Amino acid sequence: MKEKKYIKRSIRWKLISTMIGLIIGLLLTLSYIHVSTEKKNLARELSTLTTLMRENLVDRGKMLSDNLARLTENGIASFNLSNVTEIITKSVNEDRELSYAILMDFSRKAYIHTSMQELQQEELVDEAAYYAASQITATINEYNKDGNTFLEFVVQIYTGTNPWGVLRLGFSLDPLNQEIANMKNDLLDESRKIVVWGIIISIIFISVGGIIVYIISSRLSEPLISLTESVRGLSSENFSFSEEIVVKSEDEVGVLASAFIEMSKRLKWSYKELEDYSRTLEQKVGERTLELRDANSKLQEQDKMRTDFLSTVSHEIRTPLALVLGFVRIINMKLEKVVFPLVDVDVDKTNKAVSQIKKNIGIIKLEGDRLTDLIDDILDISKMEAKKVDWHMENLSVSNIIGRALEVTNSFSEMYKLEIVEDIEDGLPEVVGDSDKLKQVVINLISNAVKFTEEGPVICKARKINSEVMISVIDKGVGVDGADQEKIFEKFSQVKNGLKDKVKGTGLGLAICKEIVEHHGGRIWVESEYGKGSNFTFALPCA
Amino acid sequence: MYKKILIVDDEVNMRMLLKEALEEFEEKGVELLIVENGSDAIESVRAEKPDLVILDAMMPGVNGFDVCSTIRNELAMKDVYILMLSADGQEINKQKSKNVGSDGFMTKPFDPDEIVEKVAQILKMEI
Ligand SMILES: Nc1ncnc2c1ncn2[C@@H]1O[C@H](COP(=O)(O)OP(=O)(O)OP(=O)(O)O)[C@@H](O)[C@H]1O
Ligand SMILES: [Mg+2]
Repeated sequence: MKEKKYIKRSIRWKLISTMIGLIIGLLLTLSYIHVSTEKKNLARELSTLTTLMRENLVDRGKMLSDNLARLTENGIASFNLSNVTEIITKSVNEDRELSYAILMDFSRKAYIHTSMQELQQEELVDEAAYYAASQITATINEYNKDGNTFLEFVVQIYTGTNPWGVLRLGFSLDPLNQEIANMKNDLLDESRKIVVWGIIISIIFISVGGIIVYIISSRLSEPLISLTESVRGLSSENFSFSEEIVVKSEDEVGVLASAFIEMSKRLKWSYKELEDYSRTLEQKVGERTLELRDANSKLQEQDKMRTDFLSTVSHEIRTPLALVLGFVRIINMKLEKVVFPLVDVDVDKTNKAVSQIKKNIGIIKLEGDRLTDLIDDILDISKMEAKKVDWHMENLSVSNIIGRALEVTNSFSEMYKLEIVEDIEDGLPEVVGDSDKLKQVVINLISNAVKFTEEGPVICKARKINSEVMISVIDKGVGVDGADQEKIFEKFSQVKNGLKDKVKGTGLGLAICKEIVEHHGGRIWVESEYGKGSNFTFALPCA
Repeated sequence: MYKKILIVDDEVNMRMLLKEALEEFEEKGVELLIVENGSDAIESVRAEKPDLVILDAMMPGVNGFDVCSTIRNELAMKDVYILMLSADGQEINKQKSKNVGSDGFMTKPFDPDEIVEKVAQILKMEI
């Protein structure tokens, strides 16, 4: 919210402040120019006025002094000085500006002194008096006395043609100066008024201008502000803002606004599409999850069925097998013990039959055992694949495992008349594993070696290499062709080789070995050259 | 006092096989008792107190494991030797049979000679 206000302010206030600044600047310069010209005018006016007034005063003074001088000359000629004194005194009293009149001869003896009567008949010794006495033509003397400025008109008085003395008329300049000062003040007042009015007008202009600028800037910035808010809204996935924008103007802002509305409409549309899509996706995921759960429970069911099936199969096959094999042995026993002793072996035919029966029974037994082994293998691998095997993991000695395996294999290696050589490194480290299962691996490898070898010893070797114990079963038998070396570890895979009669199996032995070894975190492989022998090795990590 | 062997199996031919395999003992005066289900077996054990029970593990109804634990617990007969036979040789089965108190376990198929040997050993007889 704060930010929004800030933006509003920033746009509007920028406009307003610049506009108002411009107005104020304009007004200030205008009023400065105005005031200064006015001031100049006034000053000029004042100076002309002053000179005018002064000239006026001078004219008046001259006239008066001339008149009074003629009067005085006449008075002196007729020896009626008292009349002259009266006239002069009257003139002084009547004229506000005329502050004194002095009549003195050239020896500065005052005959008339209006301002200081006590000085009449006395000799005047002030500076002005000396000055006046020294003049031979009419002059005007301006001087200061006791803080007052005087304009003295000095006119020579003649008796006949002889200069007699001077009439001095002193006009005080103070009233004039006063008037000038008053005028100056008036003028100042005037200019002050102008300034005040200027300020008032400026304020009026500023406020009116400000309001106008405010309105204009609002007009200008409002669409921008609402655009800004809409953009902000967009970023928070709120599309309703753009609908509130009303395009009023056709300027760039208006164009921008309509472009924006178009864009947000499209965005809204695609967002909606996206939402729909994700909704359907969610739905689909949900469905799939359900299906998966379903499938999983089905799988679990199947898994259970598989386990049940395995135990049923093992029971249902083993029981009849047990019966067949059991009865074969009983038959064999009974024949050996009861029947054959009674048979007349001297008769050729009977003899032959007896030996054939013995052989047949032997085959039944052998094949029965093979069937049992096969079923055991199938069950083993099925269980391992279904992870239904209980592993008894413990620390084991490798030589122990090999020893126990050889106990089992010795019987049939003797049968094939092959020697098995043990080559176990001393001080082999222990491995972690299931001893029965590992024993089975060794048995399977050795039985294969014995099965697929005509001659020469089978070597069972164990070595520690790096952090692994490697157990190898090496033979000099038929070997495995390179192309088949991977395949033979698959279930039911038997590859062609030179031996025909000897080989009897189902192709499960190595697959079982692989399952067991890999469950121990190990690996199993074969190195072999066809026709020369094989080296089956499995590696287990040291405990 | 003659010795008694109780054979328990739901399979008629298996009963016959075991009976024939153990014929020699019969000839020597051992009494062969044969039943075909679990509940009959328990009854027979209670009534006849045999020396050896050859017990099939998988039977419908009361199975071999149930029979075994009943003999050990409810009948409290510690002396009777119980030899269990099962087609399922998984370790878990062997363990289970041990847990219910059997003395021996053999997987089918078995060699009749083995059974004969084992029985002779248990009954301390010479064949
Ligand atoms: N030591 C060996 N020398 C030559 N070929 C071998 C050797 N060991 C295995 N093979 C080949 O690999 C195949 C698969 O062996 P595997 O042990 O899996 O099955 P099998 O021995 O045929 O049957 P069984 O399931 O009885 O073990 C054999 O059929 C044979 O062709
Ligand atoms: Mg094999």
